[in-house]
Amino acid sequence: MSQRIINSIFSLSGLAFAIGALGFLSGVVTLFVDTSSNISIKWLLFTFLVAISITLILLKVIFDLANGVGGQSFSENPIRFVSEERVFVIRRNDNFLNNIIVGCYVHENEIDRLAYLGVVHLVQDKVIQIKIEIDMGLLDKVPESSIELKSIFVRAVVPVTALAQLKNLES
Amino acid sequence: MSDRYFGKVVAVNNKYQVVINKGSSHGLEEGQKFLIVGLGDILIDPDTGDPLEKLEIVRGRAVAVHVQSTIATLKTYDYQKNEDVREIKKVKANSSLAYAFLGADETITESIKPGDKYLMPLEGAEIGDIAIKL
Repeated sequence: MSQRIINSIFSLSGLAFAIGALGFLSGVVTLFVDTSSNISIKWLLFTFLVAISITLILLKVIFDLANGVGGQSFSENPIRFVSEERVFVIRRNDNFLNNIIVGCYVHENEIDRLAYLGVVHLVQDKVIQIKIEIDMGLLDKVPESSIELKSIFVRAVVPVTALAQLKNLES
Repeated sequence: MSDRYFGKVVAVNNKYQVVINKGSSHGLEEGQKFLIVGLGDILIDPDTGDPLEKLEIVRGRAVAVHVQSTIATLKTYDYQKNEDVREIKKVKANSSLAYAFLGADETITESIKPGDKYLMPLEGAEIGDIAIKL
């Protein structure tokens, strides 16, 4: 997100907009203001203060946008597996709030493969529970230790073939 | 305690009904729906070592069926359905005359018996569990 904002500002069109805005402002100023006349320091300082304030507010808005929802990761490592409930516990991530079906991928030999198909079971204040619905049979047993869990990635992306499998199971 | 926690289970009538410590004086009305959860152990972030929060173990969903001033009775409302049963029947009609000339007359009947629907119990509900407003 932050990279996108920076790219937009420092792009060719951003530069064109800046030159245009500067020309427009200088044109308006020279139309209505006599630039050869003296101005008081009081007004100069006031204008400077207003400009600084607006700049700071805009910087704050850009900072908030950069740290918004788009800044969160699209995949999460489970921090725990609860065997009795068959749920993976992941850190709270806004990208998973509205995604009911999620894929649990295992990363092996530089390839991600779908190991489990899960659903968002419960959203807590700081964590989200993902209930395993379908075991794709890729792993002999569900990873439980913290080292094993590091190899699992939960993503809100599910292949169509897996969805078809889920549909067959329901019917 | 999380802001989401509305009340606590004070009695378990049976596996389908619980009583919570909130009633009409707390704004509760009949028909309001709740998620009943038990609290597990506290989760620790493996990367930072910081405590996150207690794991909520879902017992089930329940609706307020009887509300008193300080307590309310909640009953589970989720139904589970067993799988449909598919039956294929082969009937052989072999009347002696027809059998002699035409062979056995076979009729295949396929029927699907819908699975039974049953109320899901509040799995493992106990006193001290939490009711979260849905």
